[in-house]
Amino acid sequence: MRIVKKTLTRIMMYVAMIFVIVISVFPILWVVMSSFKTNAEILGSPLALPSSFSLETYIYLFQTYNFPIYFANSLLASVVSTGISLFVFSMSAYVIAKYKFPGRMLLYMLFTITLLVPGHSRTQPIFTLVMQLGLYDNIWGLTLVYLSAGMAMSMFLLKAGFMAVPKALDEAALIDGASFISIFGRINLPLTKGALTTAGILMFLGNWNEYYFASLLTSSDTSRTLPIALSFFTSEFSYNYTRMFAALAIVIIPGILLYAVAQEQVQASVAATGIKE
Amino acid sequence: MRRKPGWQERKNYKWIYLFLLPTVIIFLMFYMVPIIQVFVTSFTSWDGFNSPKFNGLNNYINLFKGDAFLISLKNLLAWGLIAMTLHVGFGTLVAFILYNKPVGWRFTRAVFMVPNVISAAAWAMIYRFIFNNDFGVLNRIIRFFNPDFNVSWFYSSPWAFWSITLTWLFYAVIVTLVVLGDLMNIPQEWIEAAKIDGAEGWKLVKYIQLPLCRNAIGTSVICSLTARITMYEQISLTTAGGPGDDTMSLSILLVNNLMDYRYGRANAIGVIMFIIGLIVLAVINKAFRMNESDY
Amino acid sequence: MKRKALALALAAGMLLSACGSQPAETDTTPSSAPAETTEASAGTETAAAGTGELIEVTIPSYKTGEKVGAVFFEPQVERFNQKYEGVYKINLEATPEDGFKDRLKQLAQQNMLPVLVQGGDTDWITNVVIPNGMAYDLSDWLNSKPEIKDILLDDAIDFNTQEDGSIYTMPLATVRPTGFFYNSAMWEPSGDVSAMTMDDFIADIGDQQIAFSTAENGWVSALFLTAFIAAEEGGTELLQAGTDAKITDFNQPAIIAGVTKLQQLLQNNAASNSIGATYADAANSFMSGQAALISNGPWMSADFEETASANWSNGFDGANVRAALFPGDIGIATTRSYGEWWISASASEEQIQLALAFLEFINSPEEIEAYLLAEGGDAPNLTYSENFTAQQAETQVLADLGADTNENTVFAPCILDVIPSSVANSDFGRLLPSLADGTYTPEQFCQELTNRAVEATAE
Repeated sequence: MRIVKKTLTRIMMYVAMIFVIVISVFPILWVVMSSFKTNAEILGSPLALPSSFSLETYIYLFQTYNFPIYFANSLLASVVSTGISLFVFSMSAYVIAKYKFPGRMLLYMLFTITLLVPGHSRTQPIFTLVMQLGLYDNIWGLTLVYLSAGMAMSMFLLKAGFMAVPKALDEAALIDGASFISIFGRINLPLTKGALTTAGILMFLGNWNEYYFASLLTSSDTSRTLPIALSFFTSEFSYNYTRMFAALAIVIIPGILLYAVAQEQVQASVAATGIKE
Repeated sequence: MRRKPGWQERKNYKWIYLFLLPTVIIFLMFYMVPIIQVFVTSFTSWDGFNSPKFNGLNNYINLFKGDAFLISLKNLLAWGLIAMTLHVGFGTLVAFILYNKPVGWRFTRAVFMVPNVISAAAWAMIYRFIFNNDFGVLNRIIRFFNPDFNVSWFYSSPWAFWSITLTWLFYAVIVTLVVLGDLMNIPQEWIEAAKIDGAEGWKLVKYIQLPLCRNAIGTSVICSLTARITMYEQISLTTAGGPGDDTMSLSILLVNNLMDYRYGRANAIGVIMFIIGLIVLAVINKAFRMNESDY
Repeated sequence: MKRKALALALAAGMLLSACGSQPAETDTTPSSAPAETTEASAGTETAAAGTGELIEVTIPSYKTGEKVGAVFFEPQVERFNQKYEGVYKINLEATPEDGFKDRLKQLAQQNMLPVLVQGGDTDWITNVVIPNGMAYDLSDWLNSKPEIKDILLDDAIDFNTQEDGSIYTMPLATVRPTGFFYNSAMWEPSGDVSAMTMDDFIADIGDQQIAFSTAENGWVSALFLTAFIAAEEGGTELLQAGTDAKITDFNQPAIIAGVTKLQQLLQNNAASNSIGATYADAANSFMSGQAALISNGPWMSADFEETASANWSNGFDGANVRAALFPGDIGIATTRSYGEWWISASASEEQIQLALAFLEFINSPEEIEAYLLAEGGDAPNLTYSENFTAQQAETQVLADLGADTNENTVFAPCILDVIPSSVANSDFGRLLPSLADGTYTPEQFCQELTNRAVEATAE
């Protein structure tokens, strides 16, 4: 009886896992598959395999557009801004999670409410700011704006992460004479790697896919990011789904690869420091 | 819990505020002006170019008079409840499964994030191919059993509401990662101790693991609820709020008002979204006792 | 810093003019870092070449790259550059259409508009650009160039002329009436469609399928609805009046009658994928032989050329496609509108000269004819050259539409252009499926639209 129950649980577990894998992988596979089909095939038989396989579309895209430049811009803007803001946000999430001080709830509220600020109201102030700094049509201007992205989400995740770090560790370190900074940097940060990774990945992906501010703040080809390039392939009364899906694949796949590498890196470093995730 | 800060804590103030400073600067640079503007102009009639004209609570009163707005609130409530229960529940379930480290758990965890890489516009196309009456995947499967089946999922009542729900229901990677993180943080000794006391299987989950993941689950609930408040593309690119007003949402209404250059009223919707968000935050924080740490 | 950037921009400008035959967008010199191009992209640099003055500007345009409009527009700018070699030069900067209008609004606030501005929201032009003097007044120039002014559409000039006689956006010279396309291998009208009544036409269609779209803004459905309304008593006048004051009352006999016909067709003749179909789905059901009719602008003719055959399936052949205006010789077109281009008032004297030269160039008889051949349409005030008509006949569908467009043609603006924006972009398409499946009667549908429109315009 016990054995049956145990096997059944196992089976249910794997069914659930397979379900998760299928719903996660299907869209990507479908995008890539569609990029090898003609318009008529995509619209007529969306699930069928492509009738022929050719890299022509991809070659066309790489010859016509500066994808390496867009890629470099996207990478620069997303990686730099994610790195800086992850650090900055983790500092404030840390003190909010672990210390009591006047204004704590107010600040937490203000930081998290940013999630609900309607995009349209940010347009004008941000444009003016970037213009005044002379960073219009400059990838650094966009990077600066991306610093503000994901503030609320990071606060939620990182605060929860820091709260899970035992207070006893902090107190022990304090008795050993550790400074405020080293309690944060040596004890709390390493133990929050999981939350930091999740927040970092979400911020990175958000910036990687960001369209609106990229279209607002850049104009020349040399400061363009991948999502902008992608939008060239969608227009109201014309369509070329083959090229659009190919372009989409060019945008998505590096994102996934970078994410996979980051995930590996974190795991490796966790293993190296011997800290349990 | 509430007590006056001791000298030890006050000594830290310098550091605390220094740690907060960069975030505050980012907040001031990028959010302060927009937030104030949204609040102030929500009491005005404003077309976005000419100077706003004060009109008191008119925007709010008009909002509550409209059916679409009330339906949006009702939808938000329904979606919120589904998010809190089924969505967070599914994510937590996956977290517990992965916690047992079955074969392929790392892969599953990694792959679950992948849907977040795809932009909303591409997703909208994918949904259309799934839910289309004529050639959609869903109906093809159903017609296998019942050849005469015909439902335009996104365009007929009451299916549209559930189709929209399905577009996000199972994509609970954030929940899974947050909960999994907390699960893995539970000291092994505590689990061992509980096992010695006879806690096993479901009991272990119910009395030890779930309570200790309280913070993570609370965080997940907040994240998924706020995501429901801001949900836009999933609706605008599929049902656009239809059929009728079945899938109307605050964000769709907000954008419709912008199209008509009614920034005052759009911002009133924005303020209502703020208020709902703050209520969610306060209530969930209380309910999950999220300001207290177990360690 | 600024001076250095300017110098670099000058150098880059000279480099560009040296290899002038290359399309501007492929011409990205990898050596120029983002910071250095800032100046150039503001579209305000003026390069002084060794001999004479070369006036050069960079203008952002969405008619570039993959867009249908690029096929004609990019070479046209190239022709302009060739004609004025050594005097004027326009570099195109490809820009995505999505979000471009927002950027224009922001650039305008910073006084950094490009010299030549393409489009912009109608309401924004009316309420911000014109009252704030952001656009250059074209009226003096137009009056000094009667050969151009005479070609422009009378309605367009009338619409663009302000109370004080000034004209800010370049009125259009061409009108592109939209009719419908049909696959002659599947269906052929029993006679001249423009001479039929709408009821005869519907009877003539029989049980042939029509490719409708209801997703997005319900574009294809909206075109048919426009034709139905325009064919009703007083319908055309109703629609035309909407260009000045948007329609908010849909409970009018002409509209209800039009909606009734639309519902009838949606229920009896719609291609199987019509509910929830985007424009692309509708186009595909036409180009895969599943539907015999579709309505769309003349620019769709490019899809029926042999070069687009990769998009055809099920034995569809573009050569079989014919076109016609709607019964009653109704063509859908908005003549009372702002033009595509306007000039920034803050541009320098030389830049304005360049911009005017460009507007003059694209409105020259040769360029207008070239445009009509490429994208279809009609220039009512232009006397065509001899070989124009011959060349137009080579593209069957454009010739069909050209033959139907004459002094008897009734121009009706598309319904989406004459109703409040949120109703046009969101509510109309959202409510269509419920009309199609019979949840709404035509009267209820009109009442719903009225409610929305009233809500959208009420103070």
